Amino acid sequence: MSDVEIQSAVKKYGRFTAVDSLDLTVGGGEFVTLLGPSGCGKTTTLRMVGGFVRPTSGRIRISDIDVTDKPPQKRKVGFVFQNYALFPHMDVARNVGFGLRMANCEKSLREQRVSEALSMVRMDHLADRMPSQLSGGQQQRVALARALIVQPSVLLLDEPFGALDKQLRDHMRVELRDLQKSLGISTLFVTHDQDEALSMSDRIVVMSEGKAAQLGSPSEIYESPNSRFVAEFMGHSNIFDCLVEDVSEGLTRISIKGASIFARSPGARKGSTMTAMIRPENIEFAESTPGPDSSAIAASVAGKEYLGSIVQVSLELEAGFSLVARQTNSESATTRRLETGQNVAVRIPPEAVRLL
Amino acid sequence: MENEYSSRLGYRLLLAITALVITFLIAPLAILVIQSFTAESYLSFPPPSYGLRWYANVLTSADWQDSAALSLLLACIVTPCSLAIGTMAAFGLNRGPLKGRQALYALMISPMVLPHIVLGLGIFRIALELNISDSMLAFVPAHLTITIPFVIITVGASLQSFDISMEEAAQSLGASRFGAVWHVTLPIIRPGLIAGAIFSFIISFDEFIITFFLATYSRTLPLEMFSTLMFQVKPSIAAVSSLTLAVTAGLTAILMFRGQVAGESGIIK
Repeated sequence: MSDVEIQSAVKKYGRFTAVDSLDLTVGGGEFVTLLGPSGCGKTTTLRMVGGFVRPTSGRIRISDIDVTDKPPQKRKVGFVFQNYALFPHMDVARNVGFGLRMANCEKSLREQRVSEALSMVRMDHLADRMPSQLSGGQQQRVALARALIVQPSVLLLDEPFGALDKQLRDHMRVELRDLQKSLGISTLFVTHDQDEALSMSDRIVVMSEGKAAQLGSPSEIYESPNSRFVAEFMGHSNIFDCLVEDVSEGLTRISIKGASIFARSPGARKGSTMTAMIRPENIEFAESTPGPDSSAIAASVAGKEYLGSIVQVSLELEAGFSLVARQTNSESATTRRLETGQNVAVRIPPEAVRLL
Repeated sequence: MENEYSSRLGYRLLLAITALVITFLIAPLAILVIQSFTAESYLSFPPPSYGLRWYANVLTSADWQDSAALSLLLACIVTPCSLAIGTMAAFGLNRGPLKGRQALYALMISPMVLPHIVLGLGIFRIALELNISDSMLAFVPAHLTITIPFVIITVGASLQSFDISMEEAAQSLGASRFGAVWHVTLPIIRPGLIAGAIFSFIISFDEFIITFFLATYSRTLPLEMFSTLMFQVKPSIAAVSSLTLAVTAGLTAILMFRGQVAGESGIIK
């Protein structure tokens, strides 16, 4: 049984198509993220599920019931807004109890469930505070409790971490995911932050211009992007046009600006032009300058960036293109010892090259 | 220092001008109020003797009582109607289609800038045609034309800063559209509603020109004051004016005090 089913949903604003025949099914308590740059249609999609935007065509089903023509209050969805949208004239307990009040829930039962919901998000000690007296993280917890108390079939989250600083964001990520797992509630999450999407999701939908560019698990999306757009959006830095020179025995020889590199990537046709993606963390450093027989390539260090847990080096290859390499900052990391201007030999393992 | 000196001079100048403006605004009122406490049978300033004679006279006079009652009744009918219609108009202007919104807004608040004589004449013609002149059926809609714009402006301003996602949140929690507005939007824009209501009340209570066109035998308080003035200038006029002033000033004070409280409660309570 699916909790949310989006069937070829289209949303047009005049001539602009915000969402272009999108299909997506979410169910079984999974956490699905709509990821994409601003204007890709991810929020419009979420709002269509929430009932705030009416699709131009297509159907929305929640718990196997067609809700396309139903208003938000008839959909049983829990929506957490970007700015939390807490009611400023009600204290925390009344905010959380609002959904039960609308359902004409009896007062004593309501109070009991409010206190349960508040202790679930560890806010029970602040029940009589007003929203304006709460920090960003606390407001978010209240918004979550308020959305969850009505026991919705699906939780919809619209960039809920946008207003938090980085440390709190990382913390809330874990907290939200733990809570979501323990409740087993199917969740649709919207973000433009790849890290958020990768760390939290069971599945990610990368969206571009209203369409799903790729749908897959975080590792599939990160390691095997199916297009240049997805690769670039997921933060891959080494993306080149290449010419397929030779295809044999699972190994493909490609040429990037005249430099020959081997790739172990299926689906290449000899003579065709493709996009090569080389993952920075897979580039190896040879100890000395390359000998004639080795697969190593001569390069010079153009710049070095110290990022704490990792060290990133930009390399200028003799063939005339630059490459970013990244290593974990350990005692043995070669990048730690490299200086700008130094000549090095790098090896690009065929497994590290992906052809798109 | 040059800079400090010039700014001090500027500050003093500002103070002087402000004092002057306030004096010009307040002085006539102050003189009127002082005169109303005269014990003589004529108006003079300063009064040779003081007493509450004219207040007693006004409060026991049937003419003044009837006209005050009519004005109060009128304002009490106009205020809720004005608030309801104006609030709905403000919602429409805030939520409706963008196209033509500005023009519609300008049209709806235009009674504020139109000469009241023109409005009065127009409404009078209509009232004559409908044969409702000199009745509440004419007075109430006539007053509404000039009070509704104030509600549109005050409620509209509140709606402008209202975050619509709160209404959406209420809806996704099971509230109907009306329920969301009732439980969430209206309480949040309450300062705008209160301001609109008080404006409506004061304007209706003080309205003279349009009512003058419509009334034949009915006397609202401003009409009674006017007809009294036509015949004689007695201290009773000063007493009535002072009482009217007290009502108006009192309501304005509530308005300002409430605004302050609402502003603070957002943070503290």
